[in-house]
Amino acid sequence: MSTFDPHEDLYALLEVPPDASDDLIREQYRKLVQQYLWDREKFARLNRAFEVLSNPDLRAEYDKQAAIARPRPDASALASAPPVTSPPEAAPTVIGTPAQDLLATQQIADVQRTQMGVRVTCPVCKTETSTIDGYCEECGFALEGAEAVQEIPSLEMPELPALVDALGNVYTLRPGVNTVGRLNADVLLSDPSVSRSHARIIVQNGSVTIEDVGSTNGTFVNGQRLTPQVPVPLSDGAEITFGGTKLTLRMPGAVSVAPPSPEPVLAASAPVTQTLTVTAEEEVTAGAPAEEEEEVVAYWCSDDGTMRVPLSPGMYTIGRRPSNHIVIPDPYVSGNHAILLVEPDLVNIEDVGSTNGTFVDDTKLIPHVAAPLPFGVKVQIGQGT
Amino acid sequence: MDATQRIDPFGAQPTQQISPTADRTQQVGAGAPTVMGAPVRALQMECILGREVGNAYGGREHLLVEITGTSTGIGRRLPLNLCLVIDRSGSMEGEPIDYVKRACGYVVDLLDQNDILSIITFSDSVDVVMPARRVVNKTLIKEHIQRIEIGNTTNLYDGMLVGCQQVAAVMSEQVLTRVLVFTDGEPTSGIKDFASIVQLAAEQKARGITITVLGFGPEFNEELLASIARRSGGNYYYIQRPELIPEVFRRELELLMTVVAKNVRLLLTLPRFTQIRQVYGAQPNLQNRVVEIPQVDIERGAVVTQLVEMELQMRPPGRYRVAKVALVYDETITGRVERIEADAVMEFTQDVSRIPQSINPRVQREIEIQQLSRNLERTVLGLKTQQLSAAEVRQELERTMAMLTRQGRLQEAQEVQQALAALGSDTTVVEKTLMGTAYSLEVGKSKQP
Repeated sequence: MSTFDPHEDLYALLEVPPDASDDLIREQYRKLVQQYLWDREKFARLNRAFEVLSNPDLRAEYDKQAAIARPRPDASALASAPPVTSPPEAAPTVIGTPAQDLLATQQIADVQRTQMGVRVTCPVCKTETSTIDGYCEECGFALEGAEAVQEIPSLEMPELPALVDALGNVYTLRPGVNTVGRLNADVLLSDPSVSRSHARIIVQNGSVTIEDVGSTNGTFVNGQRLTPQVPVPLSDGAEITFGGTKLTLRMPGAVSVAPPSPEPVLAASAPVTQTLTVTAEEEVTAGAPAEEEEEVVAYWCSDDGTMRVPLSPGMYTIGRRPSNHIVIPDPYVSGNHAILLVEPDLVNIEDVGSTNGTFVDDTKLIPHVAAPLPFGVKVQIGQGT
Repeated sequence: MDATQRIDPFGAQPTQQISPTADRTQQVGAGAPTVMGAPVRALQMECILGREVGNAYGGREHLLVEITGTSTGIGRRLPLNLCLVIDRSGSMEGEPIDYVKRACGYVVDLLDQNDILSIITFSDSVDVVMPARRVVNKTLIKEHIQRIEIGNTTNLYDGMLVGCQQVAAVMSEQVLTRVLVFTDGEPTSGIKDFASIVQLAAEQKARGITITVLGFGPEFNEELLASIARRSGGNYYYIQRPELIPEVFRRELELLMTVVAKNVRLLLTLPRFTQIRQVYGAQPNLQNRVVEIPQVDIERGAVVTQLVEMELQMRPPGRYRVAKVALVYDETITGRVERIEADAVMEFTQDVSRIPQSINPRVQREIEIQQLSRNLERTVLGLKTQQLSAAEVRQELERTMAMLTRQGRLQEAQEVQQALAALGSDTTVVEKTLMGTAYSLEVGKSKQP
């Protein structure tokens, strides 16, 4: 790799005019490097640019080569980022590429692209990420290689209740006692108005109760101050204030937390109880459909042919309880097991937190993450790991 | 395994440009290789996780970052921008002020004409003995020092403020800035309250000014001085006898003259599923999932540790990077801003039998040291408020000394021993010594073994 690329405008990168003094270049370099601490790429490019422009010999050489490579009036030296018209040749898998850095020429863009690696979809968090680090930028999952976007087994377990704050910080509440406070607590809050030992939250059998343990500034649930040492039950969406910190309680879905009839959790090699396939069908109503009649997108069929449900655009719930659209009276199916989100041209399936999981093509779904359901694919509901 | 990665900046990532001198000697455009022998880096970083295998259902884990200043002699040093802020209140009369004058004289001798010095004295009000300028006429400076006279009360706040103003006027990237504040008593005039004085230190830190505190004698407020040092990222010294004053000044100068990296900070970029629960011994800034943790200036051969506790949330099993760690600093020799990166990677599994029971011993050791530091502070407080009996304090200190010795922290073990020796005769020695010990343990700085 040569020291500089004459096609790259180093002066623009450092936001200085081409005739800038050494002091100005140095000053700008330091200023920008502070601003772009988080941006590894930009940081590296700033360092490269400074190296060249701070060395009189290198700078002279660069100026000479740049004048040949990019003959244009200096007055139009770019200051800050010009508007990015379109990302350079977005690959088909890219949706909504983050705005690229300011790029002088397409050549730089090509170099950038290869340096950034390939963009893939992370199998865990489903966001677009570059493979250059080897890890998903969003969730840190180790990406094996550019192409390997393999399915991964998801977790089978009930979701836990959690406290969420305005910034999006999540404090998961584990079964049993969770202490809340400023020092050595399970829910550790750094707000000085929170006592070192402020409150306790007990999670048991799906119910959540809270108790103030004698805090200085009090614990408030939906505006009401709690009497110390008196436990109070909490429900989903409750707003709890510890001193000056407000948190909201998020309870998991109504599935396997406190089931009236608990589903048995299967051991490893349990028999398949039911298999359903989704098959595409032509519209039931040939000819001119009336306005009220919705077109059928697909059919939900059971293996043994006993069930055949037409699916129109909308949401269908699947579970053991009779209140579901698709009822499967199988003890290994949760009360509310999964949902189908049907759109005019495709069907999505989402496990809503079932005990025993939902399997699409032998791969288990991550709870609460909607996955597209191709036609003709086996869906297994009511099978253990 | 990524958890104990020693960073090779010239490794897999050619986009990561660092090399200062190597490229300069290349022919331009000759296509020569990027690296021609690795130049000396001011710092090295190592990231160690408590465990490398974690519970997919979630849990807590510690991350230890160890930063080492190179022990290679460089020959050049960064010029200093130093201000001596000297207490000349009534209590300093006699030996104390004489020794301080001598100490200031030593400082002048140690500096050269590239360094900038300013000298401030304070009692009721502030006197500028020498405004910030280069150390050229040493004789004249020493004459001015000799003319320092004893005053009355102690206006620490104004002294600190003016000292910081002096260095701020000439501060730049090309100098290493430090304010040395020497006092022997409680603030008795001007702004006296704890919170305001510590706040001043925090404000100056935000401007890039570090304050080192030197407390002399039995009367100064060790909690106040330790808090100033903590907020500022500077050092804390307790000087028991006047004849030791010059030596301590010299020690601080020596440290300043061997700083290899300043403006040091750790940046942790957190992915989803990772939250920071605790940052030990530092004041972090959180912005957009990046936690910035400022560190003290690092001298040649020094080792600084930063311990962090993470809250890891439930996720599908697999290998994950739980934090992207970046160390950014100003390298004093080249004047360049450098950056070192590392990945903290763990494997998450549902099979709890694969998760190790015990955590990495180095991480465990650092957790214990932080615990020791907290216990020490609590012990000092207990002693002062007499909630702990002398016997209880003795027992606690003996236990602490044993643990420090076992951990190899001999400097701190020795300080605890001195404190033990003074227990029963002079509690001020105990309090002031241990406050310094607790502080240095918390900051996590030690010499390279």
